[in-house]
Amino acid sequence: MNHRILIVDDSPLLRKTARRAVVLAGADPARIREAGNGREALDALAKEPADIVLLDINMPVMDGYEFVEAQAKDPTLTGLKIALVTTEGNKERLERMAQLGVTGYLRKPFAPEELRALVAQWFQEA
Amino acid sequence: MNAFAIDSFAGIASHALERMAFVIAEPSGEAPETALAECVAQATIGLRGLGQHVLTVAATPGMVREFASGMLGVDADEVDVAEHAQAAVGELANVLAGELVMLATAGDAPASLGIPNATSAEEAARQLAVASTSGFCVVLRSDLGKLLVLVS
Repeated sequence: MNHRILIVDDSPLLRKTARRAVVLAGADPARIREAGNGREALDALAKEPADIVLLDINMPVMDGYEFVEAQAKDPTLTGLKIALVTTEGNKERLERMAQLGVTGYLRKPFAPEELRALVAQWFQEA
Repeated sequence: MNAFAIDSFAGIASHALERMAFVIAEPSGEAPETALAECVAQATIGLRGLGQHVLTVAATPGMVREFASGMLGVDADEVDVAEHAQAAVGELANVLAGELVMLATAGDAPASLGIPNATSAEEAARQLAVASTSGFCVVLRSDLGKLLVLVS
């Protein structure tokens, strides 16, 4: 698979878990990058685009909401597929994220297999 | 929280461990002070919008090993407890705080979580004292270890 994937989570353990799930879904490990917060994610995307972002919400420096708001205003990031992988369950906030183009949502706690299946489905659709 | 809600939360915490890392854990009648004394890492997270509460998670080496091995897909013997302990309790604090918010609000209220922070055994003991009088404590036991969850 040639998809470029960015995993954004402040937890190194979650990033490792997500990386493993994405590789099991068929991703090329060399095309997976990681960021520890939204600011780092924007910096990473400015250096090299991605196709899919797996995004935590509750992070220091710049949280997932701020990242989505920022990327929605950036024409260079059009077409980015974003999945929230988060403890967030507030309906109002999730609706706002959907309005800004977020198309995937996986609520923690999730089984690693669920993340693999979500990413595998997106690979098939692409 | 009433006794029913505490039982529900203990069940939710057990379910989270199983879903995330295939850890089967059940509530233990063990004194939280005893469990805390065996823990190697502690994390706290603030909950806003439900009043001001703090959720604290502490884990023994065996729990860290079991949880990280399940998440990473490696044998428990391969897990470096020192490397993964803080990340494990931090993530569990984040997830369990989210579950507590959902239990209380069903997603309809604008409650929010802080960022999980590493904390000392002494601070965890202080949170335990508060939780024992005006919150609640849950001790879960798995095959390899124990997890302590405090809400104060």
